[in-house]
Amino acid sequence: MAKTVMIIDDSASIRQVVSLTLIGAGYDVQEASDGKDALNKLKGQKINLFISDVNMPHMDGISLVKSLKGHPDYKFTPIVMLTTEGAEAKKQEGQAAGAKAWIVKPFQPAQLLKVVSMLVI
Amino acid sequence: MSNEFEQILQTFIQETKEQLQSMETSLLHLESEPANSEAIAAVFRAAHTIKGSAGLFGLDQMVGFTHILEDILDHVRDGDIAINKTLIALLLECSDHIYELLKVTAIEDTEMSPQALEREQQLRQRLRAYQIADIVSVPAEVETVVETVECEHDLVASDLWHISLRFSADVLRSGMDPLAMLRYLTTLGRIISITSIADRLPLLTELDTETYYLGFEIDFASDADKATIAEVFEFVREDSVIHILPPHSKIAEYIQLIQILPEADSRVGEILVQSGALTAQELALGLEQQQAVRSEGTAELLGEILVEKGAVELAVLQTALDKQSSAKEQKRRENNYIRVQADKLDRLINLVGELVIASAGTRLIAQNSQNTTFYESALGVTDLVEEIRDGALRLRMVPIGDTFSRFQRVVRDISHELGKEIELRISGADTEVDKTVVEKISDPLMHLLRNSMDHGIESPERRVAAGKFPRGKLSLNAYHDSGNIMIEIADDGAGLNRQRILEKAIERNLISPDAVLSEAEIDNLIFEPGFSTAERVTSLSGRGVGMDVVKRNITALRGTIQISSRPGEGTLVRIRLPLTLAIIDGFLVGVGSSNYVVPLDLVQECVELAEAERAAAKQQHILNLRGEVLPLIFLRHHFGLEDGQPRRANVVVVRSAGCKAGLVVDELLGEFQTVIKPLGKLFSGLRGVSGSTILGDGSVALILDAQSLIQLIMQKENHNPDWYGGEAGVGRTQQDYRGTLQ
Amino acid sequence: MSKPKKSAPVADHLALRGELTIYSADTVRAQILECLQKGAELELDLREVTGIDSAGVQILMAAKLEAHKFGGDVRLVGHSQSVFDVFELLNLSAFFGDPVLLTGDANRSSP
Repeated sequence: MAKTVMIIDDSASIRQVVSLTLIGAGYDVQEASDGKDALNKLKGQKINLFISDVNMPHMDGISLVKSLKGHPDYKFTPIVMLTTEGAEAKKQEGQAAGAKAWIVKPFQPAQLLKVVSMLVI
Repeated sequence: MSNEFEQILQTFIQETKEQLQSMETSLLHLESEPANSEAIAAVFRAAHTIKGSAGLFGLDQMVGFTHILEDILDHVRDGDIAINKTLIALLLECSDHIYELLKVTAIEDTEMSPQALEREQQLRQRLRAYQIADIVSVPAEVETVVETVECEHDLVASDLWHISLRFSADVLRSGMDPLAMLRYLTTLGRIISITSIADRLPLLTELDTETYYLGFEIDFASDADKATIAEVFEFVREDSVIHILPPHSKIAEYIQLIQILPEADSRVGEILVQSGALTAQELALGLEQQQAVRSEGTAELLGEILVEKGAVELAVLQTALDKQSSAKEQKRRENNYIRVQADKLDRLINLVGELVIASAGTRLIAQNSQNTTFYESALGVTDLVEEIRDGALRLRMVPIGDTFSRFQRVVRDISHELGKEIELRISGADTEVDKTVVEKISDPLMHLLRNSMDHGIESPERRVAAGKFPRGKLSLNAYHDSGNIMIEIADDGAGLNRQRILEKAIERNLISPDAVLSEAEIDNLIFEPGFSTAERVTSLSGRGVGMDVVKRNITALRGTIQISSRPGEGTLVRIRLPLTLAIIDGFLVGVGSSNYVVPLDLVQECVELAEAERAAAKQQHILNLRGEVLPLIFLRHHFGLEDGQPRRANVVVVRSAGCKAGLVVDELLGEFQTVIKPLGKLFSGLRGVSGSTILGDGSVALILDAQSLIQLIMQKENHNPDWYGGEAGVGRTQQDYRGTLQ
Repeated sequence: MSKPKKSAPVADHLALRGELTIYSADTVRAQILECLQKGAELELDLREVTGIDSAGVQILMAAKLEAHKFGGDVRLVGHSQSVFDVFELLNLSAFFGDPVLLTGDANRSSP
């Protein structure tokens, strides 16, 4: 049974790179373009890991993390934030909200795979 | 893959064009409505997304340029930079340039033309005006590699990594499962042995299913380096206890691990032996050595380090987890120490002090001898002697970090007690300072930290309500600044409540109700005796030991302390201390045939006491200094010197602990660096003198204790100290105030 | 100290199904506790466990401790592949002391 990862980013190219990398490694991938879109697409299905950008229109990553942490089906699911270097404050905000893992953009596919396999049980 | 890559690149190009379009639209929108936060957010997001995506395609030039934009826009978004027409115009030009970068480097895959590069330089230049320098500057660390020869019998035989893991109880709640990390660990090497530590696991009836209880001791065969292995636990290391010992680590490190782990020492030792990490002999040897060190330790360096480690195990753990500081720890441990008794060192420094004086005398004689060869030789000796002096003083210098790291635990405990979330950040731990200073600064620092935690940093609820992170930040920073050590204690709490301070100060008759004070003067009121702003007395800060004691302690070290605060943003306390107490920058003055040294940092100014004013001054012991009342101390009287009639009189204005006074002397002889020699017991009752020094010509000069002199005069005159003097306007208010008192 | 049913020859039997994770942990804990209330001897069948995480592992371990306290035991049987993998990784066979026999199911977790 393949593990499912959801990537939430408003940049289509980032979503595509993430999808391509993870599908190549045997994961199922769901895509969402922002926090709101992600919550709409969840519908109780099993997700093993969320990867989310911080800055997004409609609902940003921090709000998404807060929603997920309050959701009975996803509150223990690992969340990786995609941050940019120098955005220390955002990173801390994300950590305070409950997303303890992060990847600094720009990242290499290998780095992404490493973090995903460190966190997906 | 390359076909797919091509496809994604096309997506990226399309997307970036859209982002640039949206950036432009929003910028134009801002032109008519500069305060529109949505438009500002949209511009920022566009730059952010372009930068993030461009990085994936290795378009470094584009990343670099967009990064500047993103940085500035971030500040605009936070309200630190105001948006105006000029900035909008500049940003529009930048967006055009990004389009050019996209076209040339991504679509055509060629190089930018010289003209385009020139334009980029100009844009960067103009952008620079908006870049806000980082407020917190971290002193650059100079890492040196220390080569050490290891004795073989101090190292363990095991060629495996030893990984010791005690995860935080909250690890599952934060979505992390140690199982996943351990599984990933197996991709880096082979787990030879793993012991699950279930000592903390309760019975099923008491089990909280969301809490994590397990720990692991792992012996691991791997060619990976330490950083790679540590990375596996990167996201949990903050709250967990993680130790990674490389193959053939020192036995001492294992012993330390045994002591640090929460389980009983014997149990951990047993596990390590059973798993093969340590042999029974190695364990016995390690324990023996450690015993030996303990019993020897006459409070000297090594013993001290061990004791402190025992006391601050958590702090040690935390720093050990940090990659950088663990490298530093290593460095420190690998430095070879020779234990020297402190009094031997003191004697040496004392002798060096005499040597400095003697050589200065020789130089003086040589200078007067008209013998050039002699003079040159004497100069050479003087230079060497000065180097020796610096070297000798450096022997007493220790990194302030050991004192600092002790506070980690304190902050942790106190924040628990207060129900606040507070994190302590330490920087500049390697900054060196004289051992005596280190010993004496610990208590004042502790008090300041407590004060910040108690009064500065708000409760998580109030922080959230104020739009801050629930977790408060406390930082401790040290660095050298022109012969002084600076220690900064900063918090991001509520800042000082100036209104409240003013009310208190008036209530306690510290200032008159109509006094006009600057913000800085108000802030520094809290250092005045008998001042406590806490509306509610807590068990920590409200104990009557006020900030005035802190200030007195710092002043006793010849240091200064200043506080500055911004409402809602936090408070910064800055302490300046001399690097050493053995040397003083002095100001040499002459009275009759005697010489005196006034600590230079207390000297505010020197004024001549004009003939006309002399008689009046002598009678009233007061000088009108630009409208301010300045009490005078006639050193000639104070020290009972013969009442000669000097041709001239000068006033040295000194300031200590907020009080100002004038010392009346005959001659001003200039600045003078000197080694302090303590006075003998015989003179311990002498007020106003803190030590002595020998001048180059062999005569003795007393070092004046300006603080006690001022206190003396204040008592004598029995009026309130002019404790915030300085500006003429303030001085006037003070005068009025006195008038009402008398 | 010891409960009257201590020497009951026939142990109670409970088959766990599906994912034994933090999301189902409270339910599973209650199930096991209910069985242990009836007697301190319990056999847990793990044949149908499709996935297990740390929370699941802790429940099994704590159940064992619970039973021991009342002089009984919890025995694990029919370890599924995913349970077996985790027990191997953490070297838990020693803790449980049950013969580990792999059953036919092949819930080998992909990646």
